Amino acid sequence: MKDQPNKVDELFKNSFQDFEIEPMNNSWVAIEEKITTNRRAKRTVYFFRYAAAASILLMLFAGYYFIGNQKLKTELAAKKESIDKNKKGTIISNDSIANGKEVKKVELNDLNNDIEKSLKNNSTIADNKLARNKGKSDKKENNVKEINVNDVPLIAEKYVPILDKEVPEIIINVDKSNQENVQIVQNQIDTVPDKNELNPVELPKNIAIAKQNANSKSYLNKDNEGTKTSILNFADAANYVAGKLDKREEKFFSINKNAGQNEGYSYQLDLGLFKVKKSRN
Amino acid sequence: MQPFCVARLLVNRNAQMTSNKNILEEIIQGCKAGKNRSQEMLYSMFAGKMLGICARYATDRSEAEDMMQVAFVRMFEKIQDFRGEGSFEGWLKRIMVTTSIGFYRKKLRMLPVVASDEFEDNVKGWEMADSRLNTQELLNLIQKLSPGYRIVFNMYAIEGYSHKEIAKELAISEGTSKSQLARARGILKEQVLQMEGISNERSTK
Repeated sequence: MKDQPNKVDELFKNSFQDFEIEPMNNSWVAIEEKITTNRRAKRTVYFFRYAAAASILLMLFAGYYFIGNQKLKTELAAKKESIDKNKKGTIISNDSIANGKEVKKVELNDLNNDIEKSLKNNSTIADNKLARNKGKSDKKENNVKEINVNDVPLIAEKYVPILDKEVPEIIINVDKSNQENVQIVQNQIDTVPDKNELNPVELPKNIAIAKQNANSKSYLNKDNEGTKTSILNFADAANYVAGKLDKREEKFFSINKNAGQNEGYSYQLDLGLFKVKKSRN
Repeated sequence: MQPFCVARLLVNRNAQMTSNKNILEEIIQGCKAGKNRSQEMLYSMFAGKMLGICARYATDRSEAEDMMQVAFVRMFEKIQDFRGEGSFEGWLKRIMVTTSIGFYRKKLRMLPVVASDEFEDNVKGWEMADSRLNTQELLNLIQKLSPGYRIVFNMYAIEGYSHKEIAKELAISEGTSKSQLARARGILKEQVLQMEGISNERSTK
């Protein structure tokens, strides 16, 4: 580099030393406008980002619910068929499980037949509670009355699907001395709500609790194919959340997908003051 | 003047300078708080000089105004980061320069690299300090340069950046920076001499 500062440089540098230009009159106003525009733009960006994130999460949950739901149904149907072939089912009392007693096996031809009938006839809302309240009632009282199924006339309004001949699906051994009418609760994993009003059936408390236990455990243990209580789509997740939050029969929000025949599905939003129900078939 | 008077003048001047500094600090604080009045005062203090800087980087007056406005907006956004260290004016100038350069970012990628040896141009016996060209005319010469030459020349010769800093700022190599500078000097010198020749003619007529 040169020792002396470059002369061209010097000329220009000195000339521009205190050089000023008077800005135009509207210059400051323009600056102010730009500032406010920037502020607004930033706020909109933040809003859209949050909205986008929220809707993405919503979509994920929806996806879980729908897909997972469908899988469960098909699994159920498949297992129901396999059960029909074997024509055997096992019923074990919750008590015996707890106490480590021997498991009683009972044949259930009659029960299965009745299940078929009932499935064709009536479709009522699933007792989502049962499917979703896992283990919550576990610690509660486990006084299950043992019922011998063959002796008791079945009033089949809801049914428990017997999914596997080996693993106990539901409870029930009743003392012969205690002639109680037992209502076995139908527990479809996924049901389409009727056009009519939903009619939940109230079970005797103990049996209801026992069923919850048995069902929840069975779901957890049996299916290792990812359809147990796994949340596979948005609808699953939405209902799961709704189940956790809302203990009523009619959830504040539920999505049901019709398996098989039509590709129908329905949404239901129940906020107490108003209800929205949308179904497509 | 009596020494006493002189001393008093000096004291007053110092006091003035300190109070000026305090005023500036207050205004800056106000701007940090987002007060519109403080912003406007800051603008009125520095706009003229800053526009003068931007004018050198721009092609014409309106582009210079644009650069200045955008730069001021950026400055107000960044003023939170300014912590009294160093001169505020220097910090502001830097924002002006970087913003102005931003207007030409795309074009800068295509700067040609010319060997810098070709343009050694310190001509002996030629005193540019004698030039009778005024600042406005020199400004016109600068604005006519193509962006690469213009920016590098401004940054090196007037703003005082080093080639290393220029290279980093413009994302070019130091060699490119040097050759751009040399070429710019050559062109400007030519043009100055030319114009001086003309003005010599005029003055002798």
